[in-house]
Amino acid sequence: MLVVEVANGRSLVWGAEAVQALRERLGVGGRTVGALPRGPRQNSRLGLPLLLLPEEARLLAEIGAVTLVSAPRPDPRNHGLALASFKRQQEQSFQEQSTLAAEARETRRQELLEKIVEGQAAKKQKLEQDSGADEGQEASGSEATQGSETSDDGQASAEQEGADSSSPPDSSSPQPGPSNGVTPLPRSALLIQLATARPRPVKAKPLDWRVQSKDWPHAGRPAHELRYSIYRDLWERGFFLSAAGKFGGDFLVYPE
Amino acid sequence: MEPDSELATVEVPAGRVLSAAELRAARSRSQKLPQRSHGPKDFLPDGSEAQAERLRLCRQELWQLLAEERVERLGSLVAAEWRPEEGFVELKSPAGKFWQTMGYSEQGRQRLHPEEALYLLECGSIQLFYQDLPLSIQEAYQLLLTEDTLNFLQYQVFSHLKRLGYVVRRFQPSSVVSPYERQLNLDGYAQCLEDGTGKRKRSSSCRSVSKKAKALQNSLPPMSGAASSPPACDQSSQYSEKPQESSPRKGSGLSFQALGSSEPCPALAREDMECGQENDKIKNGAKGAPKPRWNFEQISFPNMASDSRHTLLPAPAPELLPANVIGRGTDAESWCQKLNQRKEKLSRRDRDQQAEVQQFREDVNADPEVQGCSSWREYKELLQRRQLQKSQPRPPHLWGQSVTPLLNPDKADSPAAVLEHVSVLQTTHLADGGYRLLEKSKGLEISFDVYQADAVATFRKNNPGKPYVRMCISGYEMIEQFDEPVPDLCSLKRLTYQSGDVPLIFALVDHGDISFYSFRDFTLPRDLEH
Repeated sequence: MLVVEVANGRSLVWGAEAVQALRERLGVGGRTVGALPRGPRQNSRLGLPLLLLPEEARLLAEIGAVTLVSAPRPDPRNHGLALASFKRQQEQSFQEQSTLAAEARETRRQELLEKIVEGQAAKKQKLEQDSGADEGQEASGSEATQGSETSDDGQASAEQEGADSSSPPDSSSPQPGPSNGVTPLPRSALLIQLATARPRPVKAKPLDWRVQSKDWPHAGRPAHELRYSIYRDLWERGFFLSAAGKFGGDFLVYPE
Repeated sequence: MEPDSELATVEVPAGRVLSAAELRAARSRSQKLPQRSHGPKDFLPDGSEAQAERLRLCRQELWQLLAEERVERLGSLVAAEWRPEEGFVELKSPAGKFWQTMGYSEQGRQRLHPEEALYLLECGSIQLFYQDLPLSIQEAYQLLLTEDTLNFLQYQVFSHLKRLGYVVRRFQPSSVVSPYERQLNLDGYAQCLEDGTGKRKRSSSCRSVSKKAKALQNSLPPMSGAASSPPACDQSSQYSEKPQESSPRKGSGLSFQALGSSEPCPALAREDMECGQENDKIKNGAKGAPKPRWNFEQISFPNMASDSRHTLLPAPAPELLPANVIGRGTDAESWCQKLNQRKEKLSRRDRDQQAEVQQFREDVNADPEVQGCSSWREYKELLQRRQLQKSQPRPPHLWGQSVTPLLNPDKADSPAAVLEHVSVLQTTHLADGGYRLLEKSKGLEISFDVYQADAVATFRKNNPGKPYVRMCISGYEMIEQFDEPVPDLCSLKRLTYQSGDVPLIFALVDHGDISFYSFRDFTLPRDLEH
């Protein structure tokens, strides 16, 4: 059962699966009005939330596909619990991410072991050749090996995976060197999800769309009733309707 | 459906929470948006397999895009806290790149307006906390967009404009500079004070001319064109002699305008000549000490004053004029009378003198009508009749009745003047009378100042300058506030006046579709020439 929150006469859908179900199963489109996570600074494609026309929301409630609820206010009683659980979840995520990062590093090292050994051998040869020239060469020799390892790692991973996104956690944490110590992920490299929808379940009061209230001011308005009857009729015939503000009309009707 | 008792509540399911593995996987997803349609646009369903396949692909991409969650590194997020009782968001860690155009500083702390904070949250630049819990976007929409902060429609327009690249700030009524202030250059002065450098930027050449005029008067308002100031400078010395208005500054301004409107052709010709000479003189003066090229003993400047008139103006030398401009010589004698539309106010002594002279000019008894009077009473009647005639030179059969002629014969010298009397519609401007409406505070308000996108590099929050446009937002959803989303004339006038000389754009939001429209003044042309 899909739940749609209504506030001030505006119905917003925040779940992507809900949007898909509404569109594919029920033929109700709505309009995306938020920023798209992949490209938040462009206007051609927008993302969640999905804004439903009042007529669409009412239709969905009437056919029983969706429950309309008044948007719930945050409950101060649950706040302490929520805070504790959030902190716990954050720590857990941090641990898991550290482990995963370490594992990923290790597997990559294993894959490139041959190349590392080759590189080390080549460096050693080069050092032996130039050992008599500079006495500072000895001190910087170990660092140079490490440096060459990093560059080899980075190069090889770029070749293999074709994505440089895996190198940031490596570059942010200090290179462990040729040994296999597990360095923890630095706090700044922790990946955080900025949740789109509320990450916790919450209780809300159902909304009666037959009664006029602060959250649903459309009930009883003649303009709304008129639009709704037309919307319902065309929807039942199988058309797909959307808002037509851009063209100065009420609805755009598409054959489906 | 659920029973409608108080205790019955519906559980709203939680949104998706990504696991650690999913978070890491999210880093490597593509950053590019897929193209909108695979192939040319189809207009009708034709039931073909290919079309169905394309549709399926498009849909799949759409769901995939919508289902993606925002994943950011903790180090690249700025922590911010929402303060509902104060209505702003306070930054807990130093601001990033967005600080250049958004936010404001107060009491040493960095703050954001709710709409800015929400936009940055959607972009993934900040992490918004409320009572130590990070807010999801859904919760942020609920908490930050209330009636007293900003409503949903205004946020929609704000984010739309920000995504396009404009710099959008809240409307500050105190920043509106009236045209008079701008004329007096008060806005430049105020900016200098704020800058603290004390250096005045020389943006137009007319200021150097005005500095020269300052020697004659207190200050000269800089005129819009450089060409207009040289004649003003020249005329100023003559006008200051005439006892016209109290403030000489205003006098030169007004009289210049009268000058400009009543004599287009010779003024132009004169200005061309003068401009070339004046500018040259200024240039030469600015350079230092080289001897001026022109011998001013021999060049006679035009003079329209009553003493030593010089009104015969030869054609200017063609090499001094720009291409395609033909100069010609004129005789400006005829304009001399039209120059000063005001009647000369003679001093009391002059008036008395004139009256005396007139009195003794003729003998009363030489008048035949006076001779025809046989008694003192008849003479008095004659005087009365003459008095009546003088005060009412108009024939009584025309003017004595209820329907009178529209014009006096001496007043109707052109068809345009006649039309003026007959016209029912008067030309008005949109902002006329707006100051009287300012007390009305209900209804539509200006929401945002918008600055252009290319000004981002030079944008300074303390001194943003004149906005490109101001935005008023209305929508079909706000039915309870207005009857119509299109503003009525009263609101239009009030808002245009409030906006000053910055154009006003109305944004109409209809269910996610934003349309922008504006009202413009224009003047209908008149059919007849003056």
